[in-house]
Amino acid sequence: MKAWTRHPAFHFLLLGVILCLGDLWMSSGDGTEPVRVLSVGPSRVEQLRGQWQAQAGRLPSAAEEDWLIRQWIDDELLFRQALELDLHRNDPGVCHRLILNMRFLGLDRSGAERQDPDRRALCRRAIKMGLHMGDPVVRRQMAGLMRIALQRSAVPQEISQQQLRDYVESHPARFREPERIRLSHVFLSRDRRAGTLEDDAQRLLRRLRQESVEPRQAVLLGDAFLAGHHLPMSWQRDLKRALGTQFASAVMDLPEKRWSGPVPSSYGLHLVWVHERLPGRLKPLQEVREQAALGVEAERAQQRLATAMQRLREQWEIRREED
Amino acid sequence: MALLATALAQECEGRGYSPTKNVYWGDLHTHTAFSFDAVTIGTRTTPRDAYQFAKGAAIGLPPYDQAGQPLRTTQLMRPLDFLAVTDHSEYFGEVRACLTCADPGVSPDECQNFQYSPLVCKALRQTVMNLNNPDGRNIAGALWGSKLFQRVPNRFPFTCGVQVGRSRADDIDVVDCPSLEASVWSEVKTIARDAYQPCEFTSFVAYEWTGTPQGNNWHRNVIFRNESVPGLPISYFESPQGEGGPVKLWRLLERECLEDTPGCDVLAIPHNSNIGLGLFPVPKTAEEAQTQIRFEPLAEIHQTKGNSECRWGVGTTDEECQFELLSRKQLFGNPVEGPTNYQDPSQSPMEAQQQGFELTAETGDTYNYFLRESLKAGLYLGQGLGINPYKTGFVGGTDTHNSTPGSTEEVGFEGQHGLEDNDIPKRLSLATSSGSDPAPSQAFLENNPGGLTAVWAEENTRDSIFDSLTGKETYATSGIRPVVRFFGGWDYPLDMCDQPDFAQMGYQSGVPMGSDLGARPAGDPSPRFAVMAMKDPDSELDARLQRIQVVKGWIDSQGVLHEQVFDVDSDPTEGPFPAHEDYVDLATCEAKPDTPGKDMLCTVWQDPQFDPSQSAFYYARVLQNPTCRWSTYQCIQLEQTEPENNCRQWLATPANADTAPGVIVGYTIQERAWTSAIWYEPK
Repeated sequence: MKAWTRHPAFHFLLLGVILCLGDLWMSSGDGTEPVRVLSVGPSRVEQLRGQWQAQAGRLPSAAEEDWLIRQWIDDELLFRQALELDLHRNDPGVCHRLILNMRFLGLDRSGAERQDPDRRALCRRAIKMGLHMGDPVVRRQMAGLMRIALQRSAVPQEISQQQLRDYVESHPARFREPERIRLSHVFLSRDRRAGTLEDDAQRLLRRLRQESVEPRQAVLLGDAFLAGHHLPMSWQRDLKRALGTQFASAVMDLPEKRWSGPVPSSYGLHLVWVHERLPGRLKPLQEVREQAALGVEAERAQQRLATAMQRLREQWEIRREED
Repeated sequence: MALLATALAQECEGRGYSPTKNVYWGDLHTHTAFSFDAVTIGTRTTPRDAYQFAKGAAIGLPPYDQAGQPLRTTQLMRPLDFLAVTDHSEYFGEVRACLTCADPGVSPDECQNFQYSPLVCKALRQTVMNLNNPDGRNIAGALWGSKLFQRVPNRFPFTCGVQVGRSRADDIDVVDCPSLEASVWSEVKTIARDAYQPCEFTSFVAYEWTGTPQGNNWHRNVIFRNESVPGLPISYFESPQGEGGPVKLWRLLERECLEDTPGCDVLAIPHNSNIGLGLFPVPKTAEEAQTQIRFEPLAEIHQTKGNSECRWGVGTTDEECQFELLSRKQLFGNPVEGPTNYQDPSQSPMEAQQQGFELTAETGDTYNYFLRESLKAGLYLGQGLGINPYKTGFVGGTDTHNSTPGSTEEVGFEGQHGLEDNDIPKRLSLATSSGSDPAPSQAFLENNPGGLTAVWAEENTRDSIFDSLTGKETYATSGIRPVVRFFGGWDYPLDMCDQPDFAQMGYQSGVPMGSDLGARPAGDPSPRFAVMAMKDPDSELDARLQRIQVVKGWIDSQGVLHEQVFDVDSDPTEGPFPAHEDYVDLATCEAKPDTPGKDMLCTVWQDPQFDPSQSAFYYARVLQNPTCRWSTYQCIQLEQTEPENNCRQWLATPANADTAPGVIVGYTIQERAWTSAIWYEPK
């Protein structure tokens, strides 16, 4: 491929042209342009069915067929739009494909190309011959270029603080940080207290409550717990890792600053003191700004594409032809 | 002391940071549809799906129905804390080129009509399109994989780069693979960035280097500290065996990462020495040894394709060295021919050399075949070179080809290889055992769900976890999640296990797993090792711990290598231990009542035969009580629907019985953990 087609400046320029044309086209509609006609005939439907069958091994259902046809119509409209905007003339991917086709057809061997292996010339000749019209790969590629053009905005749009904040708030599942607690626990070992575990725990719990024993002192009244008795501020998943699911599920809702339990784990029983609890929160914007900005931009692109597709469809009358 | 000095990062104060470190669970070995050998067995999920799965989301597994919906799904019972997706870098560009004809908008269906269709691409597309055909063969996987067996492979000439015409004017650049490869690599980075949630979940930019010269699995997972990485991954094509293989990989990583990319840091983790026949190059100089240990401080000891700690009869008579072994010693084929094929375990490398045996990469199968052997060989090489090149810590991984990191549970094991092991008969290798043909191999029956890596780190961030990886403060497990601490020092109190601050004392008076013992103080003490293990708090069937062992390897003044395994804490307190059948009801896989075993084991052990003039290493191995192997659960499941099925008998049939004594897939296993070692070197 020619060096110039790979040069970033070329792509930049090309993109600029596409954006401008796309924008011109977007802003040109005043509802009075003539409605054009796109026909979907039985042979087209048959072809779509056949493609589906080749991949899926069965014929499409009525709903699937309807979806296939609508997809095809959208692609076709995009392809025709791209054609009007001459997107095929300078796209290196389209050119590449067309040259391969020329080669396959043996059409690259005429005198002119022998002397002048200029790929641009070859590409232009392919387009002149209309090779781009019938090639499914080229059509798909052009529809894709058109989609990208429609998703972009001609003018870079600022994203305000408020828009970022709104985005974070409307996606709580993604940006929510779960609740945390900090706890101490007095441990009673199943290994060491086989027969008396439950009784020991109840007795010790009564004593801790009656005598208001501080956690630092209290843990000395139980058994040694090798992973530690005073846990740092933890999410539930940290507690699961250290003490298992059963324990972690039971302690998140325990009251603060009093002795609770006995809470079972697979190691034995625990008397638990919750020091403090930090409620779950939406992460502050400064922690998630980059992710949120990407999200806003993706939503806007989808919106721009949807609006433009709607406009495009309105300019065409779709005729479903029966046999 | 060491602890406080390294506690630099505190990004996560109040959000998990702990000066005495937390254990974090992860998988450093995962393949997705970006890998040529995963996409050709029906895997459609990407690194993005793998990260979601690691965080707890469900994932689809092949086969897929005609509408593109997966017929199987799976989900982790417990999410992971970190993950490196390690797709094979060798065909990043080619896979993308062949499956999309270089255009992301084009379906494979349209590619079928792609007039210019190199055969290898065609093979790939046909393989992928025919996956649901029972007669379909993975032509592409075999064809593409075979390149990586060559000493100096070249890329398929007609897939990437230029197809040479009859004259220069006829040349056509077919597909611009480097730029496709760069775009895949950039996607790998972007996906890892999206998945990273400091303090909560760590993702690593990574890939697998897939050198397989002559069928030896010399693969390495290349893990980067952050997103400052070279523009393209360095694959086996750029560093083939004929040009040094792993040695060239390190050289290129040194240049392209450490020297040319600001902020770049990297390590390579070799895996499957069990089918590698000499996984580690043998350095000739101290400088080479230094480079080696710089880039490869860790090795993967356990994964779906077997265990690499040790093999009974290969340098050891340790009876626990019969765990999840494969009956072959290369990636494909080359069945094990019995222990006599290997070095006499009592013979030292020095004696062997006197008899004409040269320790080289080619003959390395004796000393490189299993990691315990390579740790021992490292003591020997270290004496000659002044630097021990094989001072490697341990990690574990799945090596899933289903985008399912951390899916290591025996119960409900779905296989790790797409459509090759997607149902019980395939997983039990029953498909190949029927009819008159004898089973060619028990490949999938011998596989296991794989292992996990545990990392002790201050917080869940890339820097903190990467520091712990390079510092080898890691342990590997066969898939379970017990909490294990292992410290070495000279003056730990013998009642340390009863102290409330075990970890703090461990760091203050000594070193953690993966380190060198500090200088020996006056008074000629023997080293002490403080080791504790808490059973997996969510273990299947509430399995308890049976024992902690310390494995010691050392080299004597004659250069003879030795090893000894000590049971240091156990229940019952002394062996012999009950037979596996006494723990498990083999008809149901239920645990039997009132078996021995502890929720926690802990001791301070002192080496009773320490000789300060001898280099040595010590690592801890923790054994869980016996439980059913995955294959037994699935055989029971099969018997319920097909009462006449003979899978039970099949499970008790040794693989290659006449050539590989000792290799047998048992009904039960003892899940386990291996800590990185602590080394002692005489001053």
